[in-house]
Amino acid sequence: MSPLLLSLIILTTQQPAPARPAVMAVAGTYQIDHTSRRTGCDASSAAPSSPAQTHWRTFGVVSHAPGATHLVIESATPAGPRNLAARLSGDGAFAVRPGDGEFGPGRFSVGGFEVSESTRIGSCVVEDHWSATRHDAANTIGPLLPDGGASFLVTRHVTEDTCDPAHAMSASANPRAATGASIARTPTGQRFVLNDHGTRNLFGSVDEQGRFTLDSQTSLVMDRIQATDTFSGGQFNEQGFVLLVVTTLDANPYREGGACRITTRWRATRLEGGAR
Amino acid sequence: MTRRTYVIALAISVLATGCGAKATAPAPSLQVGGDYDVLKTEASNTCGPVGGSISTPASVTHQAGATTFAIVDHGTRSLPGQVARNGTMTMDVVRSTVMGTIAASDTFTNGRFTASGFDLTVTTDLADNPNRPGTGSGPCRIVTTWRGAKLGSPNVIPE
Repeated sequence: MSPLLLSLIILTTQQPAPARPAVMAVAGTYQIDHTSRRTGCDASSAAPSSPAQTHWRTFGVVSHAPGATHLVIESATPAGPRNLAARLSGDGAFAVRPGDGEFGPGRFSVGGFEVSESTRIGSCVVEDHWSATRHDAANTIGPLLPDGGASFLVTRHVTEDTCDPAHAMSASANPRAATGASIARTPTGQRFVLNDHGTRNLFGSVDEQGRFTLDSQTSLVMDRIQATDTFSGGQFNEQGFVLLVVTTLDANPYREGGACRITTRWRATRLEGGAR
Repeated sequence: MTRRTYVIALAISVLATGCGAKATAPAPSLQVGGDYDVLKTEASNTCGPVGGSISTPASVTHQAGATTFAIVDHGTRSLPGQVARNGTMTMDVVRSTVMGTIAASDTFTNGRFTASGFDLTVTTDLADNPNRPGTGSGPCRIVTTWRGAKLGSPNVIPE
């Protein structure tokens, strides 16, 4: 048994999704360019010398767990730090908590985010438009679980093997091709089928945060040993997905002995060109 | 001098004495609390292009006559300081983290309250350049002048 297996997995949709799960990944660092306009100032305005339009650059960081609906935008010194809590909805739209300022609707894109704030200073109203550019990477907007299906290259790393301890933690590769799989939704969740390198179909469901579960599978090893695969920690992410698989065997296939267990960590990378 | 004349003379004398005494007016107490319109302008910037400015609201919490105050900067921070009767102010260094990883500090100098507001210089030192994070470009500095225009009644600066 190879401790590190590389295989190809294909996920395809079986029918159009009624609603795309709002799974996005926008955490990272941003350069924030402000453009402010002052309007409505009358003679009592405290600072008539202030220009009508100003520009300012600051920097920020967005804290956000992939797929979560809440996030925090921290804008840094020297403009004066801001700490904005926001709620993220479909397709990158977000709303800043009212207590953190009078912000209009904001929107994340692949390249950053945009939002505007209205602030009253004396008789003036300052409209401050934030145009933020993602600094460290691109945002992922839209569902992490591919609606139209996708192919993945899966690296399997054996982290524990009580059947043959020498195999655990060593590395080798065994790429194998996969055949098609499918995703089907139910009214209460998002059912899908993960085709595991063409040899078996794994049935599961995914929530709106990209977490997924797979039904356990039983099989026969060497036509005589009962084996059960249980799956945990499934999570779609920006790159693909991760998963932990524990295979319990009723007997040791390598030597005389009782039951043994093999734990394998899967790390899947979505292949270019796969549908999203 | 008749008795009537004596009484009038005495009354004039008393009045004259009273008028001649100097009344001691209470000294005005320092008052700088209230709302401000703060124009922040970059004076220098070794991190990137210089020249930005932005107007933000701020408030100053201060009890009349007290030597301590705090500038509640637009957003989420309160900047404590001390103010003298002539309006000069000193403020503590504020440390923060920019973009989650870059250590930064704001140092406040040249602070002075005036009747019309306040002036302040803020020097922001960053341990790494936020325009080029992680490239080893090293520390950089942004110097910003704050000009706060008092909204409502003017400040009272006793000296």
